[in-house]
This record gives sequence, structure tokens and C-alpha cells, in this order.
Amino acid sequence: MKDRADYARKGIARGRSLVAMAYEDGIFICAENPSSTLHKVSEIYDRIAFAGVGKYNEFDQLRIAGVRHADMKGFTYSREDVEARSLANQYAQMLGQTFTHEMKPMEVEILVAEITDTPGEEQLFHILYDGTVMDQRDFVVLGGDSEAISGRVKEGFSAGMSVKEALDLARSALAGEDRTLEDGDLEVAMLDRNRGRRTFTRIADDDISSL
Amino acid sequence: MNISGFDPTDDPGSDFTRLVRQNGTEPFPALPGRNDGITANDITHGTTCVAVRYSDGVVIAGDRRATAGNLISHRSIEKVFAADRHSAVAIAGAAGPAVEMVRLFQLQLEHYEKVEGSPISLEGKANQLSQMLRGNLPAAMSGLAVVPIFAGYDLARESGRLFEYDITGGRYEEADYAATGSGSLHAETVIKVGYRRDMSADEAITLLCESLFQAADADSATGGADTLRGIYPIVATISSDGFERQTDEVVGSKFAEIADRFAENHRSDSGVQL
Repeated sequence: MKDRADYARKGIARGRSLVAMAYEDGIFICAENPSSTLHKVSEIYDRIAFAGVGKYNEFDQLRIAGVRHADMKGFTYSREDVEARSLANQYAQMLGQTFTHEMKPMEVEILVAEITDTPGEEQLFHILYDGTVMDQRDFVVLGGDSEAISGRVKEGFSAGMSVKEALDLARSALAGEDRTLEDGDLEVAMLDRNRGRRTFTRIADDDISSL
Repeated sequence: MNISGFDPTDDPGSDFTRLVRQNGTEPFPALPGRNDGITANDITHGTTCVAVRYSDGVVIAGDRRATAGNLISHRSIEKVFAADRHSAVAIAGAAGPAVEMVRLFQLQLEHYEKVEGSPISLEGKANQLSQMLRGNLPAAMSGLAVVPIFAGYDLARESGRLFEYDITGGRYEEADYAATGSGSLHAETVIKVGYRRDMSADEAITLLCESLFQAADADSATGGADTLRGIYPIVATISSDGFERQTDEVVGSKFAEIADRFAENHRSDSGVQL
């Protein structure tokens, strides 16, 4: 078991990290990702976003499974019956099952984020490679260097930040002291409760500067 | 409900209809027997829907009445739906299967967009609707026909486009205007006479309101403006800015103008008394 955990952790540590935090209009998600086509952050449902770090093909498979689960549930019941909590539990079971029963564990850490109409009710479910689920408030950091990055986010975080403040904080927290991250190195998306039914928005690299 | 894992051979990919099927629900069930006892009088039907191209896109509209035989079964049913940000579908025919088909169609477009990371092309969306109609053919043959119009703004071509269908899934692109439902003959004639290429949005909205007014005047299954209850036909524009439903105030004022003009021409002191 320990070997498996080490293997997964090493795989995840090779990739770059990601920060998600509550801001005035919902949840702001920022990943270090030089690719503008292979996304780490994406839409699952009206108020639910997905983010993953680690091995791309593995978390992308989880993303598609999540979209299927959410769309099927919304079709069978109603749109308001689709919840992040149930989705996070499904993911936890899948990852736990793979961790104990398959040849190799998944080298991923994922986030399921959900907003409601009310500020302060943001939900961030952080799920590890072995199926551990953590329900986090305010902000969450995924990836290899998460402790150091978390420390930096914690220092700068305050409730009700504007999108610009959230971006600046995420950028400096991900970069650390010795590096600077350009717009092209980042992937930015948010769940914005002012955007109607589908709250997920992705910000193109060229538009980051105008946030 | 489980997150379903599929073998590569039967993975539904980005096809939501197939996903629904593989989860054990048949979206277009074949009816038992042929037309056994079901007549048009038993099934709620929706009627006139129209669409027209204008300079910046398309306008699509539909009345609000649903009938079962000679009864009005609903006065405020909606027959025009946003399919996604840049397209809409309007339905005529058996209301139950039609509304269910629209729901599946909307989900299919959204599901594809989320799984693939980019939306289907407008032509692709029109084809998807075609395939759903083909799936509904057995039901259509036993009396539950659905005949939609699909309208959208093609972002690649930068223009509005219109598609008409038949019950077999036949798809016919129209250059200027489209109409479906029992009042479509009257509505289409009004549009044909008043149509000009490169109308403004406002002119196109006025023309469609006029066509629905005349259809409602001649066809008992088509509803007009219900000023008693404040129920007005649905009118929506689709341009590069996306789908935008016109408010009841806008549509109501168009109908009020048409009704005033109509009343003016039919006042008993203005000509022959019947």
C-alpha cells in the first residue's frame, strides 16, 4: 500500500499545481498550465466545475465520467438534483477502488467545486488518489507543492475578494518567490453566479490581463 | 446512480442519446401495436411556429395554444426553446414526445460541448435533430408525429440559418423563412408576401407577429395574443450575441398595433355591413 501511495504521489508531484478559492462572485480556479488546449479545469454542470492535476489522461477520464454522471442524473431527475457532494462521493469510490484493486493507482488529485446563489456557501471537495475526500472552505491547493502554495494563499486570502485580487493571489502563490508566471502559463476559469444557468466560464489567455 | 465505466467497444463517446440507452432507458420507445385506439383527439397537439432570416440572424416564434381535438388543453404551452446559446428549436405535433425530444436535444448539445470541449457546428446540430426524428418514426407512424423547425446563428459562416423537417427526419434548409403546424399555411403566406431580404430585427419580429395573428385568426388550433390573461406568443431573436427572447411588452405591443389596424378596417361604419 505504501508503495502504491508513493508511486501516486511521485506521479502527481511531477505535474504543476492548481489553486481554487472563493471570491465575490463564486469560485475562482487558476492552474499553472502552459497548454491552451489541454485543460485542467472544466465544466461539469450548471454550478459545478472539475479540476485535476497529475496524469492528464487519467483525470480527463474522470472528468468525462463526471459529465456523464451529472447529465444522466439531471435528465432522469431534475437539474437541481445534481450536486457536487454526490459526485465527489462517486469519485472517491472510483479512486478508492482503483487504489486497492487495480494494477496501479491513479496518479491524480481532483477538485469538485460548487456554488449556490448565496456568497459564502461555496463548496470545494478535494479528492486524493486513494479516494480520501476533504471538504474545504475558502480555498484549496492541488498538486505536488501544495503545502508551500497553501501557506502563501492563506497569507493573502480574505473573503469577498474581487476577481483581480483572486488572480493576483493565485498567480503569486503558484509562482513562489523565485519565479514569475505570465498569462500564457496560466489557465483561468471560474464559477460566476452572475452568469445565468451555466455559471462556468473559461478565460482565454489573451483576456486574462483584462480581468 | 453509479459513474458508469464502459469498454472501449461500447463507449458512448459524446453521444448523450446513446448514453441514455446504455443506462437502460429507450428515449424513443416503440408503441405497442399500431395506432390502437389513439386518435388525434386524445393527444395534446401544439401548432403554429414560424421563423425568418433577417440581416443579423434569425427570428423564431410560436403561439401558446395546445389542443386535444376541439378542446384547448393548454393556453400557455411553450413551443419555442433555446437549444443552446446560438440556436433554437420550435415544435409542432404531439406535445408529449415533442417536448421530450427537445429536452434530449438540448442535453445532447450541452453534453457534447462539455465532453468534447467545443460546441457542435450548426449543421451538426441540425443533423442531430434529424437523427432524433428518425428515432421517433415508429411513434410518428402511430400518430405521435413531431415536426420541428431548427434555427440558429452559424458562427463559422456568420449568418442565420433555418431548417425544416418532416416526420422521417428529412432535413431541408430554407433560405428565407420556415413554418410548421396546422396554421402554417396561413402564416407562411403572410411571411411570403411581407418578406424582404435584410430586414431589421424589429421588422422581422413585426412580420412574424403578423403571421401568427393571421394564423390564429383562421386556424382554431392556433392561439393569438390572449390579452385577458396576458399570454403572448413567444418570439426570440438569435444573432451573434446569442438567443434572446423578446419580452411580453414588446410582443404585446406588436399585437396591439396589428389588432388596432384590424379593428380600424373592420369597423361597421367604415364600409359594408354584414
